[in-house]
Amino acid sequence: MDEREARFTRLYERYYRNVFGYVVLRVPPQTAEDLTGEVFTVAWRKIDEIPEQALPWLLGVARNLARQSHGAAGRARGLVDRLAGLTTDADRHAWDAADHVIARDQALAALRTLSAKEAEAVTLTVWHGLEPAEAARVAGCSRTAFVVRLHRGRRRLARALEASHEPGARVLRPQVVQEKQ
Amino acid sequence: MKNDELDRVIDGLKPALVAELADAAYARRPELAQIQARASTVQRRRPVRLLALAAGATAVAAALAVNALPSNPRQNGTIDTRTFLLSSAETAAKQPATHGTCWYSRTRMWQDLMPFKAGPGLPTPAGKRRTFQAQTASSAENWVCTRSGGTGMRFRMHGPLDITATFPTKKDEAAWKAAGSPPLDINGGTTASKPATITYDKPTGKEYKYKASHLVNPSIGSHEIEWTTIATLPATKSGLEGYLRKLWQQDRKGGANGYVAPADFGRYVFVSAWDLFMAPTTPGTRAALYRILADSPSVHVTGQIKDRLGRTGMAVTAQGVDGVRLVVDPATARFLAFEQLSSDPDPQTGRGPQVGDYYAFERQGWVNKIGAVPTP
Repeated sequence: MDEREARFTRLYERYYRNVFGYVVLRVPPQTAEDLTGEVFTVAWRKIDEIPEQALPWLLGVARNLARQSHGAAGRARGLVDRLAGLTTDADRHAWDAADHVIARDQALAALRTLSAKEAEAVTLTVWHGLEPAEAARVAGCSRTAFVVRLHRGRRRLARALEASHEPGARVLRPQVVQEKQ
Repeated sequence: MKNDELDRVIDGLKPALVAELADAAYARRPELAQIQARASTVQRRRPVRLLALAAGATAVAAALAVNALPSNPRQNGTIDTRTFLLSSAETAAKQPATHGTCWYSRTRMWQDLMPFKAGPGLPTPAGKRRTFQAQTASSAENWVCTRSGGTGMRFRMHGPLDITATFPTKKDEAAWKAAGSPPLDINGGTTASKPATITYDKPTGKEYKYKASHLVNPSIGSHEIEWTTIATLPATKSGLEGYLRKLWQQDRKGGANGYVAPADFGRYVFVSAWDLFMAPTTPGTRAALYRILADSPSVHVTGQIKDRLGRTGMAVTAQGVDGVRLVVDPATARFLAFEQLSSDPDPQTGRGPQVGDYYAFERQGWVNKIGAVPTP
């Protein structure tokens, strides 16, 4: 096994789950394995171009492939809908056990008030553990643009969550948290 | 809201199933050599509907099942739906109750490979375009084991086995040969894949906060049925119907995952039935399920057919559950095959709907050791 193969083997073993976990929230679960395989196919072809910090590069490829092959269908079904499709009783139990200050459905409704790019920014950092510079690489924008997007997304989410605490705020509507651009 | 609290909320929204599905996908990931081989002849595949036999995926399938079909009489020629289903209930009830620590199943899956045609929204493949149509198939063995002392579960997959590739016309086969007879995709591998055995454990404990059984728990509507409780499901018609109606009423109001159950109870039961037939339900529960289906006006037996393994069975469908057909063995009341048409026309050919998923259940049963195969 040469050095390139050894590196590819390490990447494949180490990051397969991460890539799949990212992909399955962007395309139908039935096609997520196929797409993950395609990401690593691209990775092997471009092994010499992959930077030291490989995960953001891999997720960036995954993002592009998902957009290419599932663009229209993917956009029609947003992140929150995909989350709902993958949510099980265990998540609700775990939520209850964690003693959150807000109901899970309200939190999902709050997430729904974010734009697609804001939701991506918020989840890339928390779910995939990426630093803003790394997440910016995945999202295909500059670090500064990403930080602004992240900040805006977090603020919008926090407001939406707080709005749901207000008396009578049973259903969150996006206009409740419209902020001035 | 404080930053760390906000992070906790966002973190809590990530479904546990993502990690479960990732573990399962990792366990059956293609061999590196396959990935490398694909890179040299990369070719974009038509998205394949590989319905993982997992909770969640079933919920997805259930959510797809809507839209009215033309009304079918329950009396189809000489076949009476009610008579057949009640007879199947009698047959199921007579099957011996078995037990074990590992549930074994061997399932065969098919994949249709279509020639590439450019179309809107379809990326141009980087490598050679597929010029032929083919159908590939392979089988896989699965063991689902509970570990003694409630210490979690152990899973094993062995496959792919008995790989085949067929071509609809001689012209397609000639085009494949002209392309250099490349290995064909099949269920995550290729027709050149060698069988592999993958075993992995899911612990239960504080360090692992999610249920180990997520991947294999059957679903009824939006409700997940814990693996270890399957054998305790009601075994009488009235008992099971009461249980299912309660779940249905909850799902009518809006169940988990945004799922809303159909207004027709029979349709709800039908959609849940295939999961329950695939799971290690007791003979009594299976018999009760057939009796409930027999009383459901929307469920129809549409005639005798052969499944893709050539076994004779009766096709069972439900009005309003678009494109789903179950095949039941009249002699044993066993569930032979599941067919689901894709909901959309094929994006490449415009023809459709096509068969999206086809599973044939070759063998199922309890054993007491991982790797063991039940006697037929």
